Amino acid sequence: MSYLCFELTGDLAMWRNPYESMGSFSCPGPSPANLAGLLGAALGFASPRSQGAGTQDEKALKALTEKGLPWPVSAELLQWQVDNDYHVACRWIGGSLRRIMWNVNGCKEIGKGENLRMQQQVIAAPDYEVVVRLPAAVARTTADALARPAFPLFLGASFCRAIVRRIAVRETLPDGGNWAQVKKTAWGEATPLSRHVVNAEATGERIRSDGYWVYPTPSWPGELQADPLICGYCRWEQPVS
Amino acid sequence: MIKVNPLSASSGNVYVLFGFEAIQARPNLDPYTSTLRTNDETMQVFTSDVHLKHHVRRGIKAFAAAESLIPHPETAVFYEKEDDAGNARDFTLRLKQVRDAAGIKDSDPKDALHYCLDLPLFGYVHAIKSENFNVTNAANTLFRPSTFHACEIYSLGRNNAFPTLKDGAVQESAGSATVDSLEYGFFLALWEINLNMLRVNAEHHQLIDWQKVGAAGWLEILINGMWKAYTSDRYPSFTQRSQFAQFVVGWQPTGDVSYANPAELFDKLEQKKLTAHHEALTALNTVLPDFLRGWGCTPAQRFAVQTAANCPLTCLG
Repeated sequence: MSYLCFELTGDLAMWRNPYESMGSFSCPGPSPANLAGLLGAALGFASPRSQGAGTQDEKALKALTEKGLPWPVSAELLQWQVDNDYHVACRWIGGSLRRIMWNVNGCKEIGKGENLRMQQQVIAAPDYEVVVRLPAAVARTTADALARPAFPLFLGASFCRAIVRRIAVRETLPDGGNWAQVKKTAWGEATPLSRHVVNAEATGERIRSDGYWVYPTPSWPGELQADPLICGYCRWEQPVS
Repeated sequence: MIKVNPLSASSGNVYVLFGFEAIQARPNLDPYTSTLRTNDETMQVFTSDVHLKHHVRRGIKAFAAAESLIPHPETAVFYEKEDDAGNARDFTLRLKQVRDAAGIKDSDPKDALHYCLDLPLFGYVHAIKSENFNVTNAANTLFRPSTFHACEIYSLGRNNAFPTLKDGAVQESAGSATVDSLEYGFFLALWEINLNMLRVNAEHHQLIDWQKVGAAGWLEILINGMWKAYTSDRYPSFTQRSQFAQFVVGWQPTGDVSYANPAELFDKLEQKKLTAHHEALTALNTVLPDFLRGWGCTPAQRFAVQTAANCPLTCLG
């Protein structure tokens, strides 16, 4: 296995909590599902309801919608995560984490003509280091895709273009700590530990948030971890009756 | 018309840097506070991507009409939420107008994408029940468009022209308000265009033949729309009409790029606050060449260049 390492930065970031899809307050950093989406966009795995998916299978999409999946995830991306046992780590490498107001005139209800003012609180000057553990050949292919992405890359929302730089495939983890760490409960700033459910078609859930991914910052350093990489996807298990 | 030369590759990202100046203007006030959007530490003024795209859409419509690009330029732009009389249009009405203009009898959910010029570039969400799909923007600003220098902002008191009504009676005095006024600002907007996304969005367009014009044709629509919106077809309002295109340059880098934010040219300025055109020009002639080199914008990689008559930038000559 190899480690695909890159810096993920940009002007603004808007990492929404998936259970608050209309929310306007960004989490501190991306979840494993956000990072999987970024890799999928680079590799050209289109969401089934996007223009990038080409001809749409309305029957299959309707079936997914009936199961409560309004914007389903690319089946290719889910399979890619399973096939390559997608493991990921991420850390904040910017200065003090801060948000700014991002107020725009928008339209959220298209049946009405008038504008709706939207206030969002986004991360300013986001800067992260990401490591993905992948089979060596896949790591190299993915590195090439990040350098020349099939689709535009975003930091959680389409008004926040992503910049991916310092892309490298290594045999060892980068030095240093302060990687995001998994917690069952969290105080203050925390990103829900959201991961794609790879057997979504059987469950009706495309994302599962199970605890938190806590990003250490300069004012709130993290704990040393022997292995900061976590499995970036999950399966929805039927409860035992 | 600004000519766009053919591109050397059909995938990856290309970039467009657009420079425009605002003189005694109020570009893109914050809708909640009605103040200019500023960096309080550096006194740089910035705008949103939404604002710039709003104006570029106007320019695209004007460009489509001037060049007879499509048969019905009045529906060149989908996101035109008011008609000429100021009446609001909703999504459904606009879609019907696009279909009527094109004479479409058998409607398709993707008619707006296939008959308007703004949607393949800027994307949209077709949020109609049982027809949902989204189109990712192929073109967007990479950073907030911003002045590269500190600005002077005046707080001006204004009186309304007429007294206002209150409880059915005319108040004795006219209302007054204080508004921000940007004395001078030279803005730099860096656009990133993903060529594969542009192809995905535009290859089935019914009025602009992708096979014939390719990505260069769509970049021509974007760049000329931008230029027109800030030259011949400026918005006539008091706050917008004194904003002028100064230069535009598009390029396709071949190697690594600096990813430098044009707003950070501020750090390289000896004189941080600029208050006039000639000061901005002198500063740009000093700091822009290195910036463009870092982005891989060499003469050989450029596919379009235009400068205003009063903007003789040596690095774009």
